[in-house]
Amino acid sequence: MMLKVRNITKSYGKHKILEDISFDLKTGESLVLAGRSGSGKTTLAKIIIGLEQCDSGEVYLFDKKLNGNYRKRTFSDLARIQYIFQDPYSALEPNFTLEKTLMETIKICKRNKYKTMEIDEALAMVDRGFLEQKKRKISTFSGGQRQKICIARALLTYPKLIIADEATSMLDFDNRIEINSLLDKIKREFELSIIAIVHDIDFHNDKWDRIAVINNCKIVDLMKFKDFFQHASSDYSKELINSHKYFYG
Amino acid sequence: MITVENLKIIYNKKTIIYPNIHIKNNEFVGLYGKSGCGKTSLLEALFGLDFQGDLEYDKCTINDVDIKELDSRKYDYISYCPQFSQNAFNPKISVTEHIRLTLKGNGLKYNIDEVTALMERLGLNSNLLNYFPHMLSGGQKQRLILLMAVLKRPKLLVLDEPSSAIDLITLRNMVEFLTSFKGKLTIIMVAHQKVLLEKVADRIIIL
Repeated sequence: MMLKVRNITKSYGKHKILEDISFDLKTGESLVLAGRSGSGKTTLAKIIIGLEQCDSGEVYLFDKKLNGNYRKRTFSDLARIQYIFQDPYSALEPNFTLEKTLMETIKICKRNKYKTMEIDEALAMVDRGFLEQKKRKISTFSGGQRQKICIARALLTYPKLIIADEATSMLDFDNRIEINSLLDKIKREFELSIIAIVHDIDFHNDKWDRIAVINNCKIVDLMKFKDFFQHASSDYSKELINSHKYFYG
Repeated sequence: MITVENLKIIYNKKTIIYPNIHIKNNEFVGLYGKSGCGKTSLLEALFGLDFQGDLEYDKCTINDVDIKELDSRKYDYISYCPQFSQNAFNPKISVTEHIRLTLKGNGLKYNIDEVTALMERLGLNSNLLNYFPHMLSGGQKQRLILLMAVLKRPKLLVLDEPSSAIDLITLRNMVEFLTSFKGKLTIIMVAHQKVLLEKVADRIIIL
């Protein structure tokens, strides 16, 4: 199994965020995490990458138990899980050129003797137009282009898992579709797994393999994405489906 | 209330030409357009304090006053929530303190019943009043920003992407919340979810 999450529990002081969260993710599989704002989706994602430490529970990558603190993980364990943040404006240094942005990752990997993808290959994968724009400053790219650059940067380390945390929530409708299609394309091309945190799932058009819904600290529904509309059983999921019908019909 | 005629904004070496815009008192107007089309630049130019771009226009007024003559006193009647307002919380003070300071700054008194009633309508638990910003999710922060913007009792409410981190159920709460202010104050809202604008706005201006 590529990723195993076992019995994760997390509180902030007296306030419980996650309770006994467990799920598996196979190689080449995508899982969308849904739940209301504040339900702990981002906290769970940050526990997987070691940015937040859980109170109890374990995370395994290819059956190897990962240290809860990213500072204590090996470089290889860090590089194999990449995180795409919600805000592409603050995730990239605006004064760097596109090339320098990606070179920073290459340099860090070289220092740690970690094999990387060629910059051109990563750029061509997300948008061939970038190949002619490597000297362009990040500040001159739009939000959608910057998010593609973040994805190209993530690809450089040949990750096994990409966590996309609201990666499209700051983009308009067209860019949202483009980024989601891109994530699907790289998933198939590189056989990598994806965990996507999405607050406005489009059940008619999105293409995820499975969905996990978190409510009241627990996973209340975990199933194939295509079955969700018919078979979701929790009250929260039913409310989510009703709201989807309210907005999208 | 707002008139924009032949406006051209030059910002970041890019020139954006806007359609003429006329917004009446108590109208709810949605602004929609592709990323990079100049929605946020327009709001910053009209309602911000230190917009860095160059402006050329025949007429650009809020309440018949030229926008270049407006200073920070415009916030006596405008609540402007720029994009990413949710990142502007002071990490060292609680939610209650944020609300108290907002009200104090506008010469209003803190009324716990009013605050909790509005929180409930936004789907926010009143426990959050004791929370510090790091304990809040993005969606909770966005709704608290909206709460403070409304508590100020503005005549004009300007919202730039107020729902970018909100799930569909909460978005529906927000639709009902904003709908309750229709006809009572002027609202201008930018959103990338056209469905949201279609549900709440009197009309949508496509940029």
